[in-house]
Amino acid sequence: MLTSTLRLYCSGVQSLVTFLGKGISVLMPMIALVIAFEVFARYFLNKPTIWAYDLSLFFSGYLAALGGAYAQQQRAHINVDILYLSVSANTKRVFNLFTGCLAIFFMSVVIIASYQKFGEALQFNYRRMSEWAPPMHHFWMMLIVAASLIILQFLSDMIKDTYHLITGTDLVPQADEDAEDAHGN
Amino acid sequence: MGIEVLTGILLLCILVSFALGAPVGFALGGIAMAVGYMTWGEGIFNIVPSTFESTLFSFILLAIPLYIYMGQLLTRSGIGDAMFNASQLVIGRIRGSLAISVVGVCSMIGAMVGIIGAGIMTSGSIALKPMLERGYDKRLALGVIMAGGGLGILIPPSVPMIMFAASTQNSVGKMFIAAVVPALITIVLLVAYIIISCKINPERAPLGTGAEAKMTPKEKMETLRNGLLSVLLIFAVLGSIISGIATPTESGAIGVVGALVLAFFFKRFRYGLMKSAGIETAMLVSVAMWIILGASLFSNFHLLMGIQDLIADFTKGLDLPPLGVVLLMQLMMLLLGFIIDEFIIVLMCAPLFTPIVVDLGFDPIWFGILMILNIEIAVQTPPYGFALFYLKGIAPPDVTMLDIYKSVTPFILLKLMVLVLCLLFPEVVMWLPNKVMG
Repeated sequence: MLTSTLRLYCSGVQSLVTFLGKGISVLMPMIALVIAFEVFARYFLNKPTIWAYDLSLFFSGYLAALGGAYAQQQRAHINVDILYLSVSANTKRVFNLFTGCLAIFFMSVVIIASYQKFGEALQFNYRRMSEWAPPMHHFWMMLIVAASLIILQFLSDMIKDTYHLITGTDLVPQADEDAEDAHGN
Repeated sequence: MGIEVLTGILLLCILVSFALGAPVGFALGGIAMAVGYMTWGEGIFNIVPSTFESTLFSFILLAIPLYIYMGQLLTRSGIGDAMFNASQLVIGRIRGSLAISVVGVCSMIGAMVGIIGAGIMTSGSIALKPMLERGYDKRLALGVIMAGGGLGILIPPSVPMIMFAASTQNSVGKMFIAAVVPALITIVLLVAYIIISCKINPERAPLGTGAEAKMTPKEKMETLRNGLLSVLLIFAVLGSIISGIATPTESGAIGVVGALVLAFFFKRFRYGLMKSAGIETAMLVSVAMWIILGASLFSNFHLLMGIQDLIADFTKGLDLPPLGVVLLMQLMMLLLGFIIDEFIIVLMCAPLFTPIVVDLGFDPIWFGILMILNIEIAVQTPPYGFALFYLKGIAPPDVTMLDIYKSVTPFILLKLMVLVLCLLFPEVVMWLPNKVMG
């Protein structure tokens, strides 16, 4: 019962994070287009936009923050692996548990701080200091979501590591994970 | 708690978490927050929103995703092959021509990609096989790829340079222009080394079979045109920065549009190409930005605690001549580069060292270029430079780590020469930017 709940949690997080991580990447060409349009508008239409600057920054902020969980899932975050690569698989799992705690602590701080800012932004209607002046509240909300996703992903990794340390078998069989990955593509 | 003790604790925590293989960005942020909470209480959490807001709303840093995306699009659209074929067509009859082409093509690709790892991977995957097939000495072949791939952070547009400029409030454009002369010197030295070493040991680089000569004139024209177009895009991007038409960030966007146009032109444009390049870029950008977020949080906390004065006092206490202080910093970065990534060295060292160097009367741009040159050497220095492992990853299985160490040595010495040259004669770095930007 417990095993299947854990398995459901891990595969649910896997799908959610993969979906969002890949989905958010559509912002990348849009950032380029928005800025290229700004250059075009400045030189060829003689009418610089007031929104391109803020919009491209919002897009890139969303892209960078929300992609964090997907990068963790793909083990793409850079680490110093001199010692890490030379230890056994089980020692790695213990190391990962420590890493997970540190990252989850950091992300919790991000959530607490962003939540305060979100409240303030709603209450005082904070906006970007620019002519266009878009509201800021959604940015803090997005950071809360991004940090929560990273926590979910680390928890899922930690559950898998702990499960393997206790039982000696994989929680989610490797073949299943690969299949899901292929499906996600 | 005194700043000395606190710094000691912070460094110890970093060492432990790095050794345990923690992702660098999360580790730096987490440690800064944990140590900060224990010494200052909850108040320290207030630096999170301000740091995140200033980092994620930095128009300078926005250049990073754009350049990475441009590089991803270009390397996937066959531009590397186009340039490699074109340069073979031109210099194919010279002994060692493949190796020279690698330096040229790698420096172009490196320029687009702007990250060491990606530079080595891309150029290695294009050029290693043709060289080994033609019977090149494997040490020459591997060394050239490493040397060329490492050029990626020295040739503008370069991601670590953007990070340096953003974290020390300097002009990215000026930084890019300052890198041009040192980069050209490095390329000339590398090419000269290849030609001379192939003259002395002709068996290191057998001559080609002349496949290029069998091409019809029409094919030749096409190859040349494709190669030229690719080079043209790089010049367009750099040119728009130097001439002041666009900011470095906007040039990145122009480069992306140009890369898409080229992909259409090479008939390589597919929806899948855009999608996979987008996903790969999004991931790389996320990785880079979370490191920047964690590292800025760490250095903001550290600066709040007064580390700046500690280091300034320490360097004053050593009673070294100004150049001696710079040398000491170079040595520290070189050592750091043995174990950590180029991004992190820049993000951690730039805000700490640059103010001190400026106090001593040096130009921050000059110091930034020295830092980039230094990192380029550090990451490929045996035994632990991390770029060595990238190279091992793409090399055929019979290549041992010792082969790799031997293959990179002559090229590292060449790059060390450039670093010393720039250190002793700052005009090499500063001449062009002063001339262009006044």
